[in-house]
Amino acid sequence: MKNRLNAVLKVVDPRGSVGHKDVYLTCGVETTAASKVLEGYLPQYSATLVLDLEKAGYKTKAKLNLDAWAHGASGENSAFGPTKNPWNPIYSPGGSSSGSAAAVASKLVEFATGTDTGGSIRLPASFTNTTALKPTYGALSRYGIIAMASSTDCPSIIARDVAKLKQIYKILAHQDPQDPNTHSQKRSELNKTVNKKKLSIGLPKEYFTQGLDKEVKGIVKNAANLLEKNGFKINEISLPHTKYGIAVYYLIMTTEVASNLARYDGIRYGNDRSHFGLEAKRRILLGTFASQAGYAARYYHKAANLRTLIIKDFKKAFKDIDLILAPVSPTPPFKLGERSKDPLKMYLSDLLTVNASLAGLPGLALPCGFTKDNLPVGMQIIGPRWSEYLLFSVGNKYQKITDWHERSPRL
Amino acid sequence: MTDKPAKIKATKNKLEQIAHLARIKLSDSELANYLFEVQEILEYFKIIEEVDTLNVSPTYQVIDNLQNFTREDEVGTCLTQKQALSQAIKTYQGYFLVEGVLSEE
Repeated sequence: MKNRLNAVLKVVDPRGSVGHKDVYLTCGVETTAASKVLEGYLPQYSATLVLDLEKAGYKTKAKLNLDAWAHGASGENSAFGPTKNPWNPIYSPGGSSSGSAAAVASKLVEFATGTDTGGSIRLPASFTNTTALKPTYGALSRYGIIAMASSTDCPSIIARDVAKLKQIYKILAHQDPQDPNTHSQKRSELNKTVNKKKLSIGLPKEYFTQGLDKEVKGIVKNAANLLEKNGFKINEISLPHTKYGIAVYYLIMTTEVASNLARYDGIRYGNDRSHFGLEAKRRILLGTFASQAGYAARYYHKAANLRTLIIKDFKKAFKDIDLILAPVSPTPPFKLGERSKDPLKMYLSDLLTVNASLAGLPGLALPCGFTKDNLPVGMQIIGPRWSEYLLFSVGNKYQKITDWHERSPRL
Repeated sequence: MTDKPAKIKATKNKLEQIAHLARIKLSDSELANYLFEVQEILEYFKIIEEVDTLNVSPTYQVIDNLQNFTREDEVGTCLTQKQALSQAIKTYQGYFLVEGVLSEE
C-alpha cells in the first residue's frame, strides 16, 4: 500500500475498508498514539467502535497517523513524521486526525475514524475536501480510545460524503456500559425526522470578523447564499463569548490532558515519560500549572465559569435559529513548517471549533470550495445536542446541489 | 527592564516545581524554552479576567441530568493475568515492578 503522504502508520489488512486513527485500541495490533511512549505497545483489547465496525463487516485496513496524543492542528507533532496534504504535499492536511483525512481524501480507505476534542476532525476535513462529523458529546463510546480531554473528547467519523457518514453513524451511535457518558434519555432525539418546512441558519458575527481570511469568508458566504436560494432562512446571530474560547479550552483541556497522561509511567505498558514529545510535555506543564493549588481558582476554575457562559451563548442562539453555519478554519490550509515553531499561533487555528467542543455540540464539516491556489476550504454546520438528524438532512441537501465533495486530488 | 529578570527567576523555580509535580524531566535548555513559551501562553490566557463571573457557576461536564447507573455485582470477562502483564517492560513473578517508594532507613 503506497504511503507517499505518510498517512499510514501500519497496514493491518489490505482487504479491510476502514482506517482507524492510531488512538483507537486494536487488539494485538500496535497502537502508538503517534508517540514514542507507546511505540511497540500491543493492546490486549479493542475499542468498542472498532468491534462495532468489525461486526458490521468493516475490517480494519490501517492504523492512521496523527499529531501525537491528538495534540495538534497540523500533523507535525507525530513522532513518526507529518502527514502530507494530498491536494499539495508541501501543505499540512490539518490535525490532529491528519492521517485519517489524507487517507480518505486520497481514497486509501473508504472512510476513517478520528477524534475531535477541539476541532481535530473538522479542521483536517476542511483542509482536505472531505466530509466529517464531530458527534454530540456522549453519542459515541470512548471506550478503548486513548483519552485526551475527557470532557470534550468525541470519537468522530470522516468520509467522502454525508451519506456514508450517516450510514456509519447509525452503527456506532449506541449506549455502551463501558462509557457511562453514553447513557442518555435524549438519545431518542436521533430518530427524529425533519418536519419544519423552512429551517433557519444563523451566521455568528464573531466568526466572520476581520481576522477571518478574505478568501475563506467569500467561499463560506457563497455557501450560505446558495442555501438561502434553496429554501433556508439565513440570519446573523451573536455568540458574544467567542473570543474567550481558546483561553478557556487551552486551560481546561491541558488540565484534563495532564491528568490523562499521568498514567504513562512505563510501568504497566509503554516506555517512560522521557519519551514524550515537545508538545505533550508543553501541554502537561500548562495543565499542571493551571490546576495547581494557588493558581487553580484564577485559571482552571475561572475557565470553567466562562465555559458556562459559552454554553449559554449557544442555548440562547438556538432559541431563534435551528442551526449555525460557520467557517472551520480562520485561514486556508497552511504549509508544513509554517506554524510549527509558534505554539500559540498553532493554537489559534482552533478559534472557530473549540466553542462547539466546550458545549458538547455536534458539528458537520462540509467541503464548500477552493482557494485560488486550489486548496480546499470547508464549512461547519453546528446544531444543538442530539441534532445529528438535522445536520445530516442539511448536509445531504447541500451535497445534492453542489459537487465540491466529489472532487479528488490529482495523485 | 529591571522588573523582568526577577519575574523570570521566580517563574523558573515555579516551572521546575511544576515539572517535578508532573514527573517530567527537563534539561536546562528545555527549561529555558518552555519558560518563554509558557509565559507567553499564560499572558494570552489573562483575557479571561475581562469577564465578570462572580454569579456564574462552573461547568466541568456538559451532560444534562447526568445519572449514575450500576450493574449487578457479578464477575464478567476481564484480562487474564498474562494479558495484563504482557506489555510491561519489567515484571517479577507475576507482578509489575516499580521503583522503590520507601527507603530502607
